[in-house]
Amino acid sequence: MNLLIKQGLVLEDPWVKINKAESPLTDYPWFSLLPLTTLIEHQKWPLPQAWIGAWFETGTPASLFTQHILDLPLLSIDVQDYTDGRFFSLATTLKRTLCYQGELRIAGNFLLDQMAMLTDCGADSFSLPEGSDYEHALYILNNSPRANLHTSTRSTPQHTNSQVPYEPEYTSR
Amino acid sequence: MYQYNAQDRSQLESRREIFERQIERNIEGKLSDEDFRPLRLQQGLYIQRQAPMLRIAVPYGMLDAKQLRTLAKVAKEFDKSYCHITTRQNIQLNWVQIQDVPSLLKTLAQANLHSIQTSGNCIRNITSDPFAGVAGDEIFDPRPYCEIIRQWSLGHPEFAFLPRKFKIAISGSKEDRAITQAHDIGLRATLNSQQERGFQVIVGGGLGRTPILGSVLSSFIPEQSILDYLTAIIRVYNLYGRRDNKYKARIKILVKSIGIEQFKQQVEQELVHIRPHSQQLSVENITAMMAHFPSPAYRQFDQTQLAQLQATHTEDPAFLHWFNRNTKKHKVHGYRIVTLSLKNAKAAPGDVRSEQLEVIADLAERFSFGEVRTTHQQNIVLADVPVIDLFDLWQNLQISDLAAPNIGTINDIICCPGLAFCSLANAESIPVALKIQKTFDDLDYAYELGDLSLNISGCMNACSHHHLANIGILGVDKKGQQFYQISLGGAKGTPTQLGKILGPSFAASAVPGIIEIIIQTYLRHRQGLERFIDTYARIGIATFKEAVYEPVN
Repeated sequence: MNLLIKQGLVLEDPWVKINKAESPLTDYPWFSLLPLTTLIEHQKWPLPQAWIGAWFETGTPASLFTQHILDLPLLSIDVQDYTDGRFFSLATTLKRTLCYQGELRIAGNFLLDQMAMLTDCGADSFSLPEGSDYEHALYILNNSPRANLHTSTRSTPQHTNSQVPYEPEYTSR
Repeated sequence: MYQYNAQDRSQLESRREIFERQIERNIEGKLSDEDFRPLRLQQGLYIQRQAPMLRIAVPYGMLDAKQLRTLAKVAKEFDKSYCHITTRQNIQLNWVQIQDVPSLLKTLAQANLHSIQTSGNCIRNITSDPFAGVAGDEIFDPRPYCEIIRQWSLGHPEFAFLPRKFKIAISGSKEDRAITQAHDIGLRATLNSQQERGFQVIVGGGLGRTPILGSVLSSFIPEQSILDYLTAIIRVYNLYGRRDNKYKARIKILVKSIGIEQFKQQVEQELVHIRPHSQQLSVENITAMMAHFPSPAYRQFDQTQLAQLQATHTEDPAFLHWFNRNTKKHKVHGYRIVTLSLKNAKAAPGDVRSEQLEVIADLAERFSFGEVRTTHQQNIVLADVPVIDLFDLWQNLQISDLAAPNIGTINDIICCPGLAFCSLANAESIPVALKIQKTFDDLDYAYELGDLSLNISGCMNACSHHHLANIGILGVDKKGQQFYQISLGGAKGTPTQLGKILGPSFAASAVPGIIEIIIQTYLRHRQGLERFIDTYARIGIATFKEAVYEPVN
């Protein structure tokens, strides 16, 4: 079984990934993670099950995420090749441009060493293949320096009590 | 210059510890070589032909005396007592051992030095004008913006796995000494009609196999918006840049294939998305950063004394040569900008020995407020030297082989490491450089030729920027034999232009002779003291081609 890392904890993953949906979508039990391609063809929203998620690949265009999809509680990026860094921008786009409020998950072939950066891009959880070195994963999450996306807090030579104009949003999580 | 605060240091420390752990995991077999590769590259560690190479970041080329001494120390302890200045103002150690890297990085960190993002498909070290803050033609000092962008790009979470490397250069002056047009993004200082500061944005420049000069994406973006603008450009690149072929993966290929207008539309669309989460800088942010780059405490000099000194010293022809070639006008009267030459026929261009670094550190403290700059021409600049100290400085530089009066001449060769160290190279570059330097080692002759740039790259990747040289030499592999292709008419600065290939390539032994023919042709057609590039522009490549390939007996 895959391990799930979420909010600094190692958990068992309640979600079951359906690689190819062959039955009508309404037949799948709660915690089914269905292919986005099938979900976007679906006509009758909302689905009767409250907990259904969508998985999709790194190169999925942002335009496919309609409001029905963005209302799902779980979106999972299935990384095929960790060097194809589009998933960093896709995660950022989902969370920031499209304001996705649910759980954004990273699954598949990513590097444990990428997890802190992915968290800064908006990822909420990570699905790790069985046998992964979750201790290293936690180490990366806990010890990586956070992103410097705003220079406002750091550019004053003498530390004054000047008001910080922008909260570092990426790091507040 | 900018001094690290506690946050900068702790960030550096965490990254260093993580990298140390990654090295350990790789050695223990928990992290495969393949998975380790992008991680070590982002830490500037290459596995090269002879030994691993470590590239140390020199943010926009600025170093202080303490950092120079630290570099001298690590070169002595972990390398062969020398290091190499790159054409992106960084410093390379060519002979490190992988197991030494953690302690090497620890030593560097004590002087706030590191190797982060000097390689890999991420935003690389920001480069700038080595005369920033002291040039007379400056519109405004680019360094505060360089530092803002350095902080923003360091460990940027979204842009660490781009299609390919990403280089940003920033220039604050009228003359473009940062070659902004040859970068993925070039920012050029400009003022709008209300005299507000901003930047012209140039995108999609680059050399390598497909040399392209960047196109103007925007003629003015306000200084406050630079981070948003950079984010939009790089996000569009990250999402749409090609990943199927690494030779077509740079942003220049994307911009070229969809056209600058469509690229601009995509960037503007992205800017709309970014707006709610804007990283707009406040006036206070920028002012606070400017305070990190104050003008040093310049002295006032007695004008008559200055004039007398100059008159006495310029009686020495050797000093006069050096003064004319290696020093430049400073914005403050009574000061000069001095370039220390790392080009002599004794060592590879851009190589500097540990004891020289120590001397430079001492001289910087004595004569130039304790700071130096590295240049993309692979030399070192002392930016603030009082005119009254020039003679003294020159005498000291001579003792350490740093006073060759050849800046901007044919002997100021820009050269990549080539086949000697680099695993990408097709051909040797350093021996060719040394041979050419020996051919033109008569200083008076080189001096008479005036401004003439000659760059040598050992392969298509064009690390020496040979496309932008008046005379460019490119090493090519022809069925296992090393050959050299020559191009003429490249130039950097104002304007920047790409050279044209002269014709079929030559064997290494023929190269110095061919260069000699090119120079003779130039001298035959030169009018007055015309520069090579101007003669070339007037007579065209055909005259040179004829002289080289169809000599009349």
